Amino acid sequence: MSLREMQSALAAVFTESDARERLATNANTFARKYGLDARDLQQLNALSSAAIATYVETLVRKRRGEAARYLPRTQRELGRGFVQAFDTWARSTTTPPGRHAALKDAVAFCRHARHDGTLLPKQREAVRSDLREAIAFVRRTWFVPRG
Amino acid sequence: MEAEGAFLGAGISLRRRHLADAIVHPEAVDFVEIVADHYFAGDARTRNELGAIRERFTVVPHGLDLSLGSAEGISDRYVRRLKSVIEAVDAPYWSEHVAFTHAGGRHIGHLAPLPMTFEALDVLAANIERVRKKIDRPLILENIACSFDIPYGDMDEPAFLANLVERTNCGLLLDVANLYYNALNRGLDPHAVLAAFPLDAVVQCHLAGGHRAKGEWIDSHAFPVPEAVWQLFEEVVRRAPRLRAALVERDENLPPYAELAAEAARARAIMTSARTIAMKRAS
Repeated sequence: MSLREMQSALAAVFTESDARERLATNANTFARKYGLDARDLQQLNALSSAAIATYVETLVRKRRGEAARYLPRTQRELGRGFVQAFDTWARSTTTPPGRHAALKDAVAFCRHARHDGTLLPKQREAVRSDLREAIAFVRRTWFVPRG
Repeated sequence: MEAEGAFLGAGISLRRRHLADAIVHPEAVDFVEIVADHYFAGDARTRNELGAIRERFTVVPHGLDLSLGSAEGISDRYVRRLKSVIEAVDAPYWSEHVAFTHAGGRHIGHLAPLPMTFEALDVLAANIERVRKKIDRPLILENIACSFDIPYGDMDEPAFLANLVERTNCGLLLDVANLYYNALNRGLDPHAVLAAFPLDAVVQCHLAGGHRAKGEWIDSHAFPVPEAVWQLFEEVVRRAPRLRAALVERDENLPPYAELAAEAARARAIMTSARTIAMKRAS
């Protein structure tokens, strides 16, 4: 068994609904894609889908907690609805790569939510306001002039 | 063992929402833990914040995303950022998790469990050695919360951590709530799990409260520390000779600063009482 291949397969299963579906419906194709041998696959199959589902929910919760740091107005205006809105969106997306993943998540969520027709105008304005702040933060911290 | 040293006492995991109150009432806690990753931006705001925290507290940075268990190695860039935060606050030591967060070009965004195998131990030891070449402050390693194990391991978690300590000479950060909820989710007795834990190596403890959802216990850091976790902590304090610090974590349903400080005070009282008894016995 190679830990590297196993971790790569696990990362896909934890972050991508497509990978979870492939593992459940066509395990051999999944194993070939990630270079897993029969024992690796046996190991992955021994993980219950309920355990993986719980992990995925924890991941969504974690993403929400981290992204929420950049979404103060959205949280305030959406109240309890923020949890549902963010979690529903996060389940259909993957964790962004690289540094500032939480900030990227916050920006992507705002870009999605600002067009959400179910939000009240005041709530959409809060989303837009957080989006402007987040983008300004990105500009301040990522694009520092050289020299 | 690394990270052994003077008694630090009881603290909290400092979140931005508590910063203003913490700055006004630093006497309420003995030290603070900060999430190092939250200070990587290096802009004026974060630098000022770090400076204000450093002026008032002993600070222990806590990393989330180093991915010490990654078989593909760790990011030098991340290590540089971590190092800058650790040095900015002149940390006595710092902490990370026994987990992986990156693999196959994917960022998981959460701590993922390692198989309890000798191969995983090799990977951890190699990555820790690499970090040590760049960061000269002691590192302590935390047990993670996860509701399942990767099947077919070579050993259980306590044996895995004991091996890790022996291989790396790192101290342990025992998250008592993680141990408690992991045990419940596996139908185990938390006190029996604790009895097998390498308590000799525990330098610091995390205390937190979680909740139950869909039949699973989740270490959500959303509630006060439950009595069962306090009881386990009392046992740890009695049996962990190198324990020098404990702190209360809260990430959701943030209560007022004073409420968290009161929980930290309870942790301090438990540790102080055990130390007094130990000193009396020694004399």
